[in-house]
Amino acid sequence: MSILGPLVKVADAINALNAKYTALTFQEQKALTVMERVRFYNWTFEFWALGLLALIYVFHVIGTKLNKNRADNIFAALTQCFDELAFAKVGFSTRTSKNQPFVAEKNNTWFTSFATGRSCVESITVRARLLARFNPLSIVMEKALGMFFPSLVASDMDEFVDITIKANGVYVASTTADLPKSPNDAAAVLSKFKFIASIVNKSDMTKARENNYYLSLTHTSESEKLPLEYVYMSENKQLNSVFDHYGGATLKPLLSESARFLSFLAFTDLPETKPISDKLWERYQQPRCVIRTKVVTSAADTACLNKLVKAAVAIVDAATQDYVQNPVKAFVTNDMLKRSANLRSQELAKIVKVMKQAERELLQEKKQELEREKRRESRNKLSGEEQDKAEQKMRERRERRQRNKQKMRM
Amino acid sequence: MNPQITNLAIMLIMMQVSRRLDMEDPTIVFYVRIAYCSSVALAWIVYQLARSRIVQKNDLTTIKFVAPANAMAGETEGKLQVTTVRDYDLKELDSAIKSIYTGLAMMGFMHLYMKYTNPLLMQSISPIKSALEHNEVKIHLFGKPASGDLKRPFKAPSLFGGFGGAPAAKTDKKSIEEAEKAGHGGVKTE
Repeated sequence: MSILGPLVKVADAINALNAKYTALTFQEQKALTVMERVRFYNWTFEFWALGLLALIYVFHVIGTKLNKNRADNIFAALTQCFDELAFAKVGFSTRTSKNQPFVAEKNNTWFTSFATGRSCVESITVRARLLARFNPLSIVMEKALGMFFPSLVASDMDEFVDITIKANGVYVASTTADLPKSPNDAAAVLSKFKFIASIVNKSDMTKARENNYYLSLTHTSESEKLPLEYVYMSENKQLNSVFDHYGGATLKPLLSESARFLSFLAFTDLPETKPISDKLWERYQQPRCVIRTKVVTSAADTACLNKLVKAAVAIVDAATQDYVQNPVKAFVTNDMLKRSANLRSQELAKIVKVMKQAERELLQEKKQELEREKRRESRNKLSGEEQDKAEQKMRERRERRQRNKQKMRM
Repeated sequence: MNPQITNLAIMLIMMQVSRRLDMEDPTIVFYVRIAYCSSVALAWIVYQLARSRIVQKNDLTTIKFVAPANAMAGETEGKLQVTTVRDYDLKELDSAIKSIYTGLAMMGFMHLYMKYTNPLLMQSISPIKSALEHNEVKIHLFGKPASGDLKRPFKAPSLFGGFGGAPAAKTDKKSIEEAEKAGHGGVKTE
């Protein structure tokens, strides 16, 4: 039996459904009216095919709606949170007067929201990725393939919510207060956020380090200051206390409550993707706070997520206020920042070294290609006899080299 | 005794047994099927029992080690693994359960499609034997302490004692510290 045996059997069974119809001669078929033909023909296969198409459509509608409902649930809660945090602008403007709280892309699998216009915070961007529920077959295939061949499936295609809070270094004491006059102050304050300190859920430690360049530069340590489900990942141990200092006593119980869905809460200025050149290194440096969570569905979890966003914004607020009003009181000292700067210069040197090596290899390849081209051209210019002579010379040289090598080995 | 050597010995014995059995006899085939399925089912139950114990214990102690480089995946340097005892144990157990499914698929193909019965008989002991010899089962079901050979990360077993085995994971402080600050994360492949 061939390997395609079962497939052939199925095809035969399908053909057998209409064996009677196909057995009719042309004249017999011609004699039948359209209605008689329709009645005589066995439509079982066609009905099954149509049923399957209908099922695919139903899955598409249900999957897309399910994703939309989940996104509605998350973003409605977050929009309320941003309003409470007094952001001037939440969501996206549309041509109509109605504000759009989030944007859906790629068939309701990617969702984005945005808030801006607040003291200490330049903006908050929320990105959520949901499974392609409209295509359950691909989900099952990916899961099955990932089970036996993990390298064939993209590892970072799980569902998540990413909340990025960018600091702006501008502290405004009240809604009626004036903006600071010197823009240089903001840049100086932002430079104080150039460190990596994070709290990572123990279930996601390796994955978080693998997917985020900034976390792969940190030292992992457990602490009694944290709930049992978390560890600190910071570039130096002193920075672990930044959460304790600015987060206060409420942070620990909040983290405990969020253990079901929180992957990590990180303060960083380095990019998520490892930069491959010094230009990219410079371009993607942005002091920010990143909150990565699983997709939350229950009301208790969304409320908890809101509290977490508020806590992160409160840390940014408190740190900015310290740097602006009383830099001596600030937790992150110049000594800590110096150590962070050292790490950054070492990393940049590593990147430049790899980049230069790649450039050298590329140049070498080009040079070799040019030489080959030159040799080919000069050989083409020679007459047939001269070409033979040149080839003979080359062959002799190769043989001589080989003999010398053999002698060396002896 | 080294489990790999006992596996080999069992294989040889079962080969001799299978030569003495009439594999054309439907009654014998029926009993061989029952033996294989019970062995697989028992192994699966043992693993699930160990799994439930691990989840119940919920040991969140952090373990760090540098896993050896996977040459097949083109890796030149080892990868730092930061995990908890619970997750490490579950990963080990899940890979053992996965190997049961792979074995079932292979045996299903050989027996149901290719109509071979001998492999079924030869594989009717090894699933339960492997399950009972698994490090996680020893720790969580037999209550052996996680030290010596059972210290996490486990050493990959080798056929000839210390030679020929897969490279062991590094657990020394220096290697871990170097790997921690290596900055290998965030490499996105196109």
